[in-house]
Amino acid sequence: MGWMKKGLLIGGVAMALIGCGNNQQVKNSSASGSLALSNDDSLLYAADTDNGVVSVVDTRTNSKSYEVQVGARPFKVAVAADDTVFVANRGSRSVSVIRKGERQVSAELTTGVDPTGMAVSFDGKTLYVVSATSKDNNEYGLLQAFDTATLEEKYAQPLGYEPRAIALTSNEQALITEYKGEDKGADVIQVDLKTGTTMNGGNTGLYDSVNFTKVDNNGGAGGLNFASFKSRGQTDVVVTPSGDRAFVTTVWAREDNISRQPSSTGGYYAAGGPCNVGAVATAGIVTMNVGSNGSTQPKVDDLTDCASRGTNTNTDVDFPPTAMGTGGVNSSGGLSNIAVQGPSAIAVDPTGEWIFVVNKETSNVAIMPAWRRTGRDGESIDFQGTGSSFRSVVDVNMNAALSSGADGIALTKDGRTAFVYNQFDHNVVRLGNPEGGPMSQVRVTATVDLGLKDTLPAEAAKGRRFFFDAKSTQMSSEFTHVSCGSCHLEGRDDGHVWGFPTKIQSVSGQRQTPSLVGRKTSVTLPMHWEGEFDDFAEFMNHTVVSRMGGKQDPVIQGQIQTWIESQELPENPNHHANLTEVQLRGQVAFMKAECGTCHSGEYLTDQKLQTVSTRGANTMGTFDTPSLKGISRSGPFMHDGTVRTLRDRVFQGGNTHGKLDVLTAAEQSDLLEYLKSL
Amino acid sequence: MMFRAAVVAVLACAVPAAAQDNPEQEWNALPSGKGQPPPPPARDDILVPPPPPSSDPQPGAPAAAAPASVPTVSSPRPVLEPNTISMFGARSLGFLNRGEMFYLGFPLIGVRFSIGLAERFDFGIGFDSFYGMMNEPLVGMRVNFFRGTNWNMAATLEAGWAWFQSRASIDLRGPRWLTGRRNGNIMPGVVFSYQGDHPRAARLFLALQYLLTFDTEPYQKDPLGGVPASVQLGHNGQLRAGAEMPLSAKTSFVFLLGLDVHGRQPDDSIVMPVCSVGLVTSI
Repeated sequence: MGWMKKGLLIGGVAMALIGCGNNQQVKNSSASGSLALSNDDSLLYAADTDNGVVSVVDTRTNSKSYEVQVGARPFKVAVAADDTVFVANRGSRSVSVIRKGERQVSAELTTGVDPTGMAVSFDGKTLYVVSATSKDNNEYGLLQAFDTATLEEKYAQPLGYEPRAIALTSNEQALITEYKGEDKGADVIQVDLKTGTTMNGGNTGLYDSVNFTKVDNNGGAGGLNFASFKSRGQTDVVVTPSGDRAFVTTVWAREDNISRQPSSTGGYYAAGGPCNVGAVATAGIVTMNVGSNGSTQPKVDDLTDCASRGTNTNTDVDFPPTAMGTGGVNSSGGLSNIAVQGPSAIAVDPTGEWIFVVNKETSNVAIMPAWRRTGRDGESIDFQGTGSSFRSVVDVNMNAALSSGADGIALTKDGRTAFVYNQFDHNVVRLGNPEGGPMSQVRVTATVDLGLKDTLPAEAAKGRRFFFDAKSTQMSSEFTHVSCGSCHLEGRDDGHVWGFPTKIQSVSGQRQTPSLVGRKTSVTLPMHWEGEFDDFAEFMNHTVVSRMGGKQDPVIQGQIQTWIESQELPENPNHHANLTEVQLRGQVAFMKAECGTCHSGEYLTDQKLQTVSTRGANTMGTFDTPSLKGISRSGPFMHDGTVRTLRDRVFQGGNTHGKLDVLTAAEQSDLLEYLKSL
Repeated sequence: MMFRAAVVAVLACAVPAAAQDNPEQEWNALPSGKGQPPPPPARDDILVPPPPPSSDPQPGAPAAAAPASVPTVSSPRPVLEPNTISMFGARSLGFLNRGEMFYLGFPLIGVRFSIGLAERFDFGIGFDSFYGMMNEPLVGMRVNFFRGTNWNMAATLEAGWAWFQSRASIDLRGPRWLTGRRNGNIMPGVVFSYQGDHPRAARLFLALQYLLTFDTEPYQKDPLGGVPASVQLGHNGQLRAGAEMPLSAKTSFVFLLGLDVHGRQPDDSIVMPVCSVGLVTSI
């Protein structure tokens, strides 16, 4: 055996000389959202949005060690190489800095409004923070770079519209997701981190890729017969440890008109998901290949044409399905019922082989291979049947009928443990796969109660759970799996224009998703763009029963309304306790253009139907006067979404919807500033 | 079926040569007019025939009578130079002699270039490929330990580094599964070969190899199943049998059959048959 030992020795020396090939260095964190681990995996940091604290959990004993009070509505946690903890606070426009070993915040970084994305550079020297809007203008987002040692701001660059999450593909480049997007839906922005500037025109052509057949006019009749989909709700992005692939969570929204009518049998929203998988709003994964030069290309299914390039028949591809299954016909001819909705966070394991998608609205974690959609020997991956490639879907809520608000995940470096944070349950769930083997499933191995309570009133807290619940049959049919939050993202809007049937049009019409929070639905009735519903219960019966396929339940409806009305307007950098001088001038212009004739009162609505036109369609129609509260972050505008930005709305002029033509250019500018302040 | 064909092919080339003990003796013998005995046949020596007597008179010169003691040969056959260029067998090339080889088969195609650095020590480089899906440059050596009249035995060693087109996790029935190879591959082995006395006798060979693999791309097979060690070893056995069938003094046609036994299941096939055809030459 001496020669064998010599051989092994020689081999070992050879391997050492060539660096042992793949060293599996973890450059990107295997954590996302409200959770992060210390570098030695001994401590877990969990940000609780309601309570404004970060709980520190000892992962060896599965017990809470202590908590640190941070800013308002902490949302995202990141840990640097020196174990400094950064916590992004959406409610206080800041990042709390907790140095290693300390039990209090040592510094607060001032960010833009709604800081939602955070990442630490590979060298640990820079913290990048993405905010939904800049510090003083809600028309664009913000990317900031901070020195992690001195905490000085290196730069602050404007960035896209409602950017959300960030992940580094290298020390020099990053990908940033859009939460809402513009004409073609949300895309992924590639950024040069040295300067903070956008690369490659700010988009990757995602819309054209997922709607290839329709865009390419190969579908006959100009391709118009094909369903098409827009990405929005891109809550998170993660990059593999090797840096060559990124995954973005999204919810696909159907773009073309939906001919099916709502009915008392429910499930209208179940119609028309991509390739007969999912509902009109379907959770999905956008795969991005990152080239050696940092260029990023979508690697996605053509959702418009399953027959030629789509998902359901093509298994010979090396990326996960673009649409995640929420129904569909399985290989046995029956209906699959895999509820996955509302992806809120995503992580990839340290070897880059498995992706873990946390789904807030179905309170589970979907685990699937990162590089294939077919099963290895003995593996129960049923892509043909379900349209998805889940290896495991793990429920993480304690009460199966109620959303737990899962929005964070962290994986240990040994690849054996995952932690998930349930924001509504205020607990941490520990996941493992102790059995192992191709048939083994990931399961909950422990639950750590953090001892935190709801800060919302009890009824509102319950309403929140139902608002974000796509699994409860109270809210949607077992084959629909959409929640109110699937379109009213965070209670707001999704920036999408739907082709739903309407009251005044016997066929489908274009209707923009209105924002709900901060507008006091109880005092701004009627509801829907045509004012079809004079009270909230009537509206809920129609929406929950006839559209979502849920059940009529006055108690739940009341709880949901309580939660909606408890919510504040979205954070707004242009909103001040008192109007500024230019905003006051804009208020005068608002009245001069007779906007205030209909948009009147505390919530800027006369609660009446008015006959107006939209600039894009240039046709007259009768619509409910919507509240203008929080309008600046609720684009696109008009009932049919034909006006993309508030700036366009003001400067396009016209006298058929207000009398904008009577305003001077200066007055129009003032009016814009006033509208942005609402 | 393939095995049977190979056996038939090998025997077809080997048996005739073995059956004729020294069929060229008459032709290799020097003219015996002076009673000199013919030199003993030496396989390693180049047999140089005497210049054939010319039966035609030179133009412009008086015709000379042919010596009565030298038999007249109208069309003499050249003496065959024995083929000693072996790449698969155990016979080394000899000092500064070169050998080249390419083969085509299942699962691999490959080339080798070798040179004798000593009489019994060859060093070479090569390249194996699973038709583009796995590509592996190699270095190798062969040490001839035993050289008999017909039998040879040698120890061989090849080492290479392979690049795969597909990630290991999606290479379900690809080059890794078929060949057992991984990123780093070391193949020590021993080879025996037999060649009959005829200069064109087929050189039969039998090789036993141990394939030690270094997998530097191990992946996590099960979610939360644990991160594997950064380098995983694999142990495999390889059996090769075949023949180098000389077409000329320096070129042989090669036919090879084999069987691989793989030690990594279920990642690799348990056993995998191997077959190849190729050419060995020295340019």
